[in-house]
Amino acid sequence: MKVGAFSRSLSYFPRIRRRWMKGMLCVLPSSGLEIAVPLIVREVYGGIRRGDMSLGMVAAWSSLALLLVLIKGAAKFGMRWYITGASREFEQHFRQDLFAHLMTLSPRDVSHVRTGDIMSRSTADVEAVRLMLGPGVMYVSQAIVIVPGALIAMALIDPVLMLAMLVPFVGLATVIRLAAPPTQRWSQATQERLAEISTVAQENISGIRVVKAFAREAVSSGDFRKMGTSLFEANLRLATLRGLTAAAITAVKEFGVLVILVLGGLHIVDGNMQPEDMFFFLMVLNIALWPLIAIGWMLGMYHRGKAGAERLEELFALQPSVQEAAEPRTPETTRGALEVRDLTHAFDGAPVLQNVSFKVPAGATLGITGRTGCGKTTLVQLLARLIEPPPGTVFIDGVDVRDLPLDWLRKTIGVVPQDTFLFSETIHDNIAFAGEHVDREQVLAAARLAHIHDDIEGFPTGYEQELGERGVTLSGGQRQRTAIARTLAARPPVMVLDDCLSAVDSVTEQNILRQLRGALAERTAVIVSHRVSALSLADHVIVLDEGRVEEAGSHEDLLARGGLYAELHERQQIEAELDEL
Amino acid sequence: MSVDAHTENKVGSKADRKLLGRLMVFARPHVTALCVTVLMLMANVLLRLIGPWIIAQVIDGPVETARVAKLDDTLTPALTDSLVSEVLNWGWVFLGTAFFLAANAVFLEWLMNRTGQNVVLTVRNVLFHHLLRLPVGWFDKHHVGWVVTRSTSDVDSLSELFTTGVATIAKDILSIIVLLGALFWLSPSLSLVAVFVLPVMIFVSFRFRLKARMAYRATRQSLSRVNAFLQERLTGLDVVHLFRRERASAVGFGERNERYYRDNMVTVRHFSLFFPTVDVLSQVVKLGTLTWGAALIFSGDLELGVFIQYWLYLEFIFEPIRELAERYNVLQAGIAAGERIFGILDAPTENGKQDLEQIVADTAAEAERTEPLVTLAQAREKDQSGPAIRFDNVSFAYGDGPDVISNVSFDVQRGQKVAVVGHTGAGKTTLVSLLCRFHDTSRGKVELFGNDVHDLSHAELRRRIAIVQQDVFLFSDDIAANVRMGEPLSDERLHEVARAVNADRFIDPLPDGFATRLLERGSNLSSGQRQLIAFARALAADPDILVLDEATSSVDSETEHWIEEATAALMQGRTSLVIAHRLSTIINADKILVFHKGELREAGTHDELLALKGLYHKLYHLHLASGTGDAAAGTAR
Repeated sequence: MKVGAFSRSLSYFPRIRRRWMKGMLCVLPSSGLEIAVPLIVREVYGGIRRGDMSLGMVAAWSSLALLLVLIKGAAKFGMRWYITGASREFEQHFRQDLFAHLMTLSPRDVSHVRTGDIMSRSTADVEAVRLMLGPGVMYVSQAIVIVPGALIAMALIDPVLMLAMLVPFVGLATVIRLAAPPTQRWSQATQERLAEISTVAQENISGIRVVKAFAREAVSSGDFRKMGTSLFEANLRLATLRGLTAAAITAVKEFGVLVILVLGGLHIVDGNMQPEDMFFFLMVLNIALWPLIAIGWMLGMYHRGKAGAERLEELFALQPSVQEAAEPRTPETTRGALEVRDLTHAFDGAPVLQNVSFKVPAGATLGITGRTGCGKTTLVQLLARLIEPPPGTVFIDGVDVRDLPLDWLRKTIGVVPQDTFLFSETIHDNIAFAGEHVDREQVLAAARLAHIHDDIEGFPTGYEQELGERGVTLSGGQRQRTAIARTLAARPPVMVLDDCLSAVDSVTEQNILRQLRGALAERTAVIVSHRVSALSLADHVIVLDEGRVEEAGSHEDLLARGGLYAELHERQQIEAELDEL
Repeated sequence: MSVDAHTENKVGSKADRKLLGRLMVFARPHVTALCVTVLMLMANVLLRLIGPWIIAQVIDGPVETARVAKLDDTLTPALTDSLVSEVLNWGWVFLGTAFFLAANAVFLEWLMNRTGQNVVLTVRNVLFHHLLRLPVGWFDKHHVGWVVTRSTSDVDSLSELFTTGVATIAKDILSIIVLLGALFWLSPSLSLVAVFVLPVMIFVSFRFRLKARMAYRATRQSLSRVNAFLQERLTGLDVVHLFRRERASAVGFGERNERYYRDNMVTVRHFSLFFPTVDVLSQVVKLGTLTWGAALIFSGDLELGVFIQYWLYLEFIFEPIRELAERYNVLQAGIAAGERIFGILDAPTENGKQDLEQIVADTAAEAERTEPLVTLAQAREKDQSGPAIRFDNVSFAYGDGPDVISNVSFDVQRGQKVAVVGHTGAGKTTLVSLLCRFHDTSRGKVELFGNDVHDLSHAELRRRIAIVQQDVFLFSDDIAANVRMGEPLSDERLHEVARAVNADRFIDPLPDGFATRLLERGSNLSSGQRQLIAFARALAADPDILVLDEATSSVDSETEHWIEEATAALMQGRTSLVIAHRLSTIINADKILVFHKGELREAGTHDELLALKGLYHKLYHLHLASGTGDAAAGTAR
């Protein structure tokens, strides 16, 4: 077995060593004593047969056996408890490190992996590695003790019969070896066909209106029936294969009994062996065969574990695109002045921003607007270095964001993103997301500023109200205002609002912004909005169009100019009128 | 939670008997196979008794004779030879038995699975058949993922009931009874030992399964908490970064991960205790048997060979006892799955409630049928005088909610092109749902060619109408299949249709042409290309009424031109109802219906409506102001 794929997993060994070693120490008594009881039974049976053992002696021997059985039971418990426990502990550490690694990546670094995929790797694949390293190793070490032990005991009693017994042992190993690959192949085939079926089902259910509109029910049922039949065939083949394997195992076992019966019988008639020896062989056959079957499982576990470890390695191989500079520079004072210098950014070869430049002096408010897809959100992400800007393009307090320590950068610039994401926690915890240093007072103050306090007070449990699946669902506007409160509570010197009031009507948006005016006045602010009306607060406004700065100036100047800004303004006014009709 | 509560049901309750009755509907065609299975199972159990019996015969027969002869010194070579051949003969008998046993095992496994899988195939087909006939409203209330799980995992759980569940439980119980009988028959007094300890084993294993299941449920819950946390942090990764909460998130994850670990360790403890306990108990039985057996042998009440036979039977009996509780779990899971599946089958279809037998018969009939249920010609025969479409004072609300559209009345004459315009949320899409009877009106009625839509079957109604949806739904099949939608359309006609709507322009250059496979939802095509395929699909259906929900998504100007041309071709010679966003479509319409907030506010031609200086006038100017060809898309976002 190659260790390559498991090298990361094995590096966890020192942490779980003690438990694991305890478990391995239990393997010896628990497996070794398996043979001891049949040996005692043989002794007693021989005594009974010969008639030279008193009932008292029988009872004494049985009591000794019972004692051994109890020791074996305790050891067996220890073995399972420590080894499985160690493997669970490994799993916990491993998953924890995987999570920490994932947290360093940005959504864009993992965009080619589906979230569901990451989740299944974090559960199913980690589990597969665990099974291989825990129970898998346990079964093998048991087999390593039991099988040779049984062979030695048998050889001491009747070497010829022991050699004959090798035939069923080797036969069983061969059966398992032969059956494993096709079984794996067909079980994979059934899994794939089942996945196809669920895709067909999912598509037809998602597209139920189209199915019905085109009266396509019969055709869809037909497709489904075909796939069902193909799954049926694969399942049946798998079942036949399993049946054959089971029958082969039965046959091998029965063959073992047959060998004991005939060869043993003949040896007894010859006088080379006694009935108690035959009895012993019969008992040991069952004990020694199952570890071999377990090794068969182990092979399957090994393959799944290896595949799982490889898939996990792919995740660990992902590198964060945004990393802290090797020698970060911290500005002497935090003032909050922003500058963008000739910034050009492309995504997948298509230009998103071209030659964008602007300056926001500390304490000023900048407005950014433009049509959908003009590059507003990308610009915001570059400011906060969620996406890596080219060197020498984005500066805060005169330092390139690429050279700033990430902690300083993100504490300085507070972004309220466009698609407000809240966590399934209490409202308090969501607003205090910035850290434990945010106390209740600050949460309340931030919520009041963001115009969400009254809404929160209206919930059954107020600020302790859980959000998400187990709690209330907020409206789009409530979510956005909560997100604003979350950023306000962090008290960043620079605050960026990325179209974060799109879900409320324009009047409410203006009200909220007006109320925020005080909070924004004491810091640098960037207000991004598709609504022109929201930008009247800004000292300076830039209008983006297809990634370029189309217009720039104050709100009034731009309106007077009659360009894109004025056009957007007119259109939004008609919309507002329509809403009122 | 409620699902888990089902699992807790005691097997054998009244509801279960009802369920079993319904399962019988599916099992009935396989009665012969099931009977054979039971016979084979009995044979299996009985065949397993023979091996130990043969061993006893050898030990108490030739072996004992040899021993006695040796003691008496009467063991002649001739006697030895006859004893040897006796042993060999028993060997042959054993070989024969083993052969039958193996053959029985193969055949039994195959038969049980064939029956089970057949039943599953039928259940799956019936369920899917039924699902497709449920009203659209049902799907609004049930999550896609939930429904898919029913038709995959639940059908699978039910399958285990038929393949391994019932049969092996029967086998296990039968084995226990037969083996206990055999033990009693061999030595009634010796079996007292087993009778005292075996119930303890059964008790221990049921108790273990119960505890293990509870622990397992706890681990599943804590695992789902781990996953939910992971999923949220992955989705909100930007937020985590913005607030530098990477380490804090890891702490939060650590708490949940730790909890999962602890819950797992409870399960580990149960398992670690259970197997050694059962092992100790079985050894106690054996050692008790050994001691008591010694007494019986000393008193001459038991023979040496029979003692070994007894011992081997005892070893056989532990397995079914250990497994019984596990099987019971499979049984419960299958029953819970069955309840959910029958819950879906109980939901009334678009044509009302059907009983199970009827659904099964319909599914089977559909598999046999080669012709469509209703042809276009048959559907046309029902036509009466009247406009192509008439909405007569129609209102609609979801459940008890507020009206989505209220008191809407209008006619679309045969051959007329009617454009529907309005701001977002004006209720335009609802019109289409009501026309196709995806939903039924709350008040008022909808007529199609003079017939109330309620008097037409769904097939008759929908054959006449083709819908092009704004958000085109494509299946992950090839392009040809997506255009044909199951119609037996010749390749020639297929190409003709594609040409007519300009779809050939992008299909022909594709390396695989019409055989190009589309990814899920057609994600390997542009939105303009998806629309053209939807156009071809509608044209292929050759409908009398075209319902077109124009897409608002922006496409490049060349595709825009193709779409415009295709729209004209599609409407040619047909009655059409267009939810319009393109200025050209609106201006060229015979009639424009202006919807606002669920009401029909204005109706007339372009010039008439402009002259009104009302809503339409405003919408028109909004359109001009935006200049994006997007008159009704609402706020740009």
